[in-house]
Amino acid sequence: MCEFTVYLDGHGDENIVATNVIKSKVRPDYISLMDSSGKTYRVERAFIVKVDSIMAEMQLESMA
Amino acid sequence: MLKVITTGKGGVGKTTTISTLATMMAREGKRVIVLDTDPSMNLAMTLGLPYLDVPTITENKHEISEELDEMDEDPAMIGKRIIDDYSRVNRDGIRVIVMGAIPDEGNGCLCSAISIMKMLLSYVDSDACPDRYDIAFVDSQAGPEILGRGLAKDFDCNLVMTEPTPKSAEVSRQVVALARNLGIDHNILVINKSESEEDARRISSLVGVPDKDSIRVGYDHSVIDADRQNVILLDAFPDCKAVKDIAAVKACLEKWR
Repeated sequence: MCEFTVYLDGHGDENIVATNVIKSKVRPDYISLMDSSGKTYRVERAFIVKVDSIMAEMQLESMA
Repeated sequence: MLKVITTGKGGVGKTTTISTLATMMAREGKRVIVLDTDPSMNLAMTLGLPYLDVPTITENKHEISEELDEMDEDPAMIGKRIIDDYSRVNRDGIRVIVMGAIPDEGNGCLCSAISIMKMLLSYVDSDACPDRYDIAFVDSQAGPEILGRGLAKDFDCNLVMTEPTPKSAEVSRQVVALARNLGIDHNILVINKSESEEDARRISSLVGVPDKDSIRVGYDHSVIDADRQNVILLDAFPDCKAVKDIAAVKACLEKWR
């Protein structure tokens, strides 16, 4: 299922920011995410490291 | 809102059963919404809506995606806009949302359309939805895949349709196992075109559903006649055997609730 699990600064369960993510947008100061229930999330001062559709994962990293 | 999904092998009568149940309930005054997630979408037509009058999610995916881009807007408002724009209501007041098929060759999978359907279900089940539906029916594609996609997570009931054949029963067995893993404890087995009680008991045992949760729907040529005439079964043959048997399925749903 092509809904993404989004991780921040690592790949463990404790790093999961959101699951079932269907949309993401890069804003000047944050990354916005929307899951398949319509709930939105905001990850401040981070950038996208990897988007992997095979594993349905997206990895974010905090800006230094 | 009661959430019910129909599952099973292709051609076992999912769409006929769900459309008849939805029509019966709507005519009793219940607020009913149906979502067709079968790429071979026939539910709208079975409910009397002309095929070309019903927009599908897949053919409007780009427009919907642009609406979702307005993430800063209240997600509930986005849900309302999508439903207003991409669903239709039949003459019994049943709201119909059709996922649709892959519109072009090489256009990828249906995952995103399923995600949008999940989002719309989430919206109609929330306090933000002003329509306050009593029941949502989801008509699924053949086989167990739809349950693997998580669409039916937190559903109240899985209406497992089967014919009295080992192949059909095997698909239903897989469907029931997945549904239980998904947390759907109430699985009603509807054995369509069943010829005897013994036949039905054999199939219930193969599928792994207790006899008390199994209902027989006898073979009835009226279903084929209604399909050929492209009319609603309940309108054309209100007293036929199939309608009476489907009424028993409705009673089972209501009793359980």
